[in-house]
Amino acid sequence: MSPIVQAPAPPAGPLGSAGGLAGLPSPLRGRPRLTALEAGRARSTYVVAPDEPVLAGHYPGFPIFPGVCLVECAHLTARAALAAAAGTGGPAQPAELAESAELAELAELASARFLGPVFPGDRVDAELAITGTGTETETGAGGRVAATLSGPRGEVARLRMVYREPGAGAGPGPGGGYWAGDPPPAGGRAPRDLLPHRPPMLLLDAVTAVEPGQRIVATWTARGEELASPAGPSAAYPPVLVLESWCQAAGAMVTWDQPNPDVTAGAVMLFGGVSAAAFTGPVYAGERLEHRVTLTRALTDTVIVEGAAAVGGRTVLTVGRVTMALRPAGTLARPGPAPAPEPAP
Amino acid sequence: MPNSTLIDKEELRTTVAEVLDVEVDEVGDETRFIEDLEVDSLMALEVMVVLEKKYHVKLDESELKEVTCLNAAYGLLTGKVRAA
Repeated sequence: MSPIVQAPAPPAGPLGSAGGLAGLPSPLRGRPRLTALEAGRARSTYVVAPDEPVLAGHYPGFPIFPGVCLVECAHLTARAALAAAAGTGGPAQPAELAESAELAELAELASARFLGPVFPGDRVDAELAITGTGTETETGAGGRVAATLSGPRGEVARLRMVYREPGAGAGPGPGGGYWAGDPPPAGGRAPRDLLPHRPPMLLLDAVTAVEPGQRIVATWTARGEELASPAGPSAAYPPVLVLESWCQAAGAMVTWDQPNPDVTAGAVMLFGGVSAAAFTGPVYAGERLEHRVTLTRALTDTVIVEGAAAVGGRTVLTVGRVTMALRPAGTLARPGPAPAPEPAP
Repeated sequence: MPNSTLIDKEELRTTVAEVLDVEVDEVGDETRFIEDLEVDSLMALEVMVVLEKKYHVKLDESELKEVTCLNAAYGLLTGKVRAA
């Protein structure tokens, strides 16, 4: 992408003014900064502040920037870039975005590969290639985004995302059970006894049914108070956290017989990749999600899972494939001092 | 897919490319997934799990890890489908 084009100053207007408008709900307090914006391309920079709230719960004693928060960085950048591409006079900086009738919604995380850890203080640079804007949807708000995210030690994630115009959700999904007949009711074990996640990143309330290692049904109420950037009741809950909560249900299924609530000991579950995670309808703060996860394949140190999530029988998420790797905690050890950061582009 | 059907190599190539998130023409017969396409070992493993499901065969974990290129995948799956 050359030459670098500085993002234009946000135009005056209700969206551009940002004054008095609630920003987007997000697990992040910070926002990526758009550093370049041109037709079909965008670039942003995000520095993981050591006091970014998610780090306290992911994980205690071992802060590591969650994979879904990398997706969030790309997502916020994409929404800003798509708003600019749609020519709706929206703001150019993710920090100025507010929920509106014109902001593109994440329809699908078609693919995500997580390639390396990101630690507090790291700078993450995102490069986005944007296609399909203005032609595939009536309002021009949608599009397809391919993003590559890099940290101080190299690439950290590659993502493909599909956006749709707001309100164009797939509608109520099939609803009902993801499979016929539930596994046996689960008793006794709370998510915090199974998983290393802690508030604000413990996004699971209870396991209601489980066949250890094979299937699980678990619930979580998206309260909103866990968001570093909360928003009013009319703003859709961040889709990346719906996915994170589902993944935590998968984690509870995998570790049911070998709980691992302390990330610094034993095996750590790493997010390897996601394929075909479709957000089929919005979730609002206060709604209770029911996750259904089933095992696709288990290997010695890797599991592949699939499933869905619903709110009151309305499917809000379907997951084609999530790959998680179990690795000794030692392999995650933070490397020595990061190389001196390059000057910001 | 009936067990008697042999595996269509081009269909296999398309599936592998989809999972690895690369263009079909990048997946040569001997192109090594990890070294040449720069995918991680987890992704290479994921390819095989997808193929297992698609072709209704069960591969041992050691077999899964052996598959490093399209020809190897084709050979392994063809053998499994024939044997099934």
